Amino acid sequence: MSTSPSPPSPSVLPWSHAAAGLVLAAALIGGAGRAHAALGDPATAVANDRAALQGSLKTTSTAAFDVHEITAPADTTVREYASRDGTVFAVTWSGPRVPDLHVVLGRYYAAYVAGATAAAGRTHRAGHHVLSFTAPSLTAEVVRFQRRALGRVYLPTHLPAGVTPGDLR
Amino acid sequence: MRMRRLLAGAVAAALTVLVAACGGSNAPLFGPPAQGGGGGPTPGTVPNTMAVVVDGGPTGGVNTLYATVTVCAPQSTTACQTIDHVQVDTGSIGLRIFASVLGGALTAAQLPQAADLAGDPLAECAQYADGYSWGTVRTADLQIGSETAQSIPIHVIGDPAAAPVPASCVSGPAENTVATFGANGILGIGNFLTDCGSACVTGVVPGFYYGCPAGGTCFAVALPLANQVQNPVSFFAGDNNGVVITLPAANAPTPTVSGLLTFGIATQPDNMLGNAQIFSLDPNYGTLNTFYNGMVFASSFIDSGSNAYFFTDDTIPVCTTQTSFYCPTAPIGLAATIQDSFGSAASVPFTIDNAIADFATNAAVLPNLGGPVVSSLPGAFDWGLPFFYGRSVYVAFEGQFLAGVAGPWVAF
Repeated sequence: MSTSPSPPSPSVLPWSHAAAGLVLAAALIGGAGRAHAALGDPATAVANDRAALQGSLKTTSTAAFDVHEITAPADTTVREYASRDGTVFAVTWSGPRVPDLHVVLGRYYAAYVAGATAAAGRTHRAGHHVLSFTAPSLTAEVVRFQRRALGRVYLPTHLPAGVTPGDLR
Repeated sequence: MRMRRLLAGAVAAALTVLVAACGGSNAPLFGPPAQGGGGGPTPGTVPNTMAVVVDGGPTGGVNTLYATVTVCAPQSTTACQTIDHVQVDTGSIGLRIFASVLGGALTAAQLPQAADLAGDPLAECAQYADGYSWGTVRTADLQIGSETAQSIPIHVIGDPAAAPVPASCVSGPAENTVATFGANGILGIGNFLTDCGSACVTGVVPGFYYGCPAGGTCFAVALPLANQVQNPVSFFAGDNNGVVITLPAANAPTPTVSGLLTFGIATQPDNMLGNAQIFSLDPNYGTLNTFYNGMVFASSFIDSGSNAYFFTDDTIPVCTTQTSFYCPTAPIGLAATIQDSFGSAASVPFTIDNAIADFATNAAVLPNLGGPVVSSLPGAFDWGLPFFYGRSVYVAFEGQFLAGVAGPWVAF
């Protein structure tokens, strides 16, 4: 991660890359719309998305992090975990399909694909229904079965103090 | 609920005696005649079993179950290709074959290209946990064992005629070849009748079906159920309400085993439930619950397409080099309870070996192979192919009402 974000503004996303990704996501997803700040983005982007996209947003807070849960009807629920410094350090998903990873993973999409590709080169693979791997910047665990998709991707170096992967539900 | 099931079982047993006495008549006893799998058990009039095998397959995998499928151009008996080492997968729906295995007596171009509702060529994305496949949707006749499925949509992966893959499909590395996927195809015979279902009928769902207009880019489209890639067994004339997988027991690494894939449940004398216990599945997801280590894993599943027991247990060390698997210092005996949301429960013992020691045997059958899986809620426990060794596992389709229980369900 690079510099801390500038003071949040309701109408301007501090990361233009994220903004382009979210606009593209809206175009791609259309009626199944969702609101996201992608992995690694500032949490303020979540609030900016909600007006533009069709997902409903629910935020809950623990001592160490906020969970922004975005749900679209009959679609996959995505949870974004934001630390106290305002960075999304983990995303999880649960629903009938894999969410659009360009949207959910943002700037970490390429690292995710690279890590999954490296895992495919392992001598012994785990089949097509589960996958776990650790890439230089992220750890990913994915399940895909019939009409079910589960996933958890987090940035190990950005976990708040005292937070373990098991807390990311 | 249990009493209802016991009574239903007794009734089913009595009625199945009648079916046998009637000599396999096509008159169904539980509902209207089955069309593509709906209604009651429709007895078949052809042999309903075929051999399946666990061996190294095209790429030397483990715990991968394979069958042979014959694909023909619709209504042709000469434009046909017999394809071995198609993975039998109760964790997915539909027949997917790699275009590279065609080209002898049957080319991909001889299978009619399906179209979306706008009339554009229809393509599909199949997203797995570990990557994706992209290809055209085409229509074919299938022969699986002695059973046939006519004019059924299938997925031809890596079809050179397919348009470039759209970005929303790319969820990992491409698996568009036999080498990258690990089999010559997938025979998806899980609990559902179509791979996407009603979500793709009522809305546009990226990551499934795409219309690809000539000269343009592909875009996600809604698609009626009849046009989606179908569960091939549901298209058989009879024996079309489910499948049974029966594999011999294995207690240690074994080079190969052969087993049986039986079509239909309670449709012929050879596919009765016997003592098998039924577990209802979530009708939207096809999952059930597993109780392990004091926790409930509510997104569990029984899956012939997974090559190990995949479950969360932080006390079991993960192998340092093969990080998809567990490496306890010695085999450990464990148990978990499989249960559905209606109270049907069974304790299942299993053993987890040191995976590296198992791989060193070079055997394809590794009955005690285990590995980690994501533990985020609702939590998954994947009863993969090791669960099938020494069992008959029944997979009842959605839309069926068998032995007094509405599908989808599994029994063992």
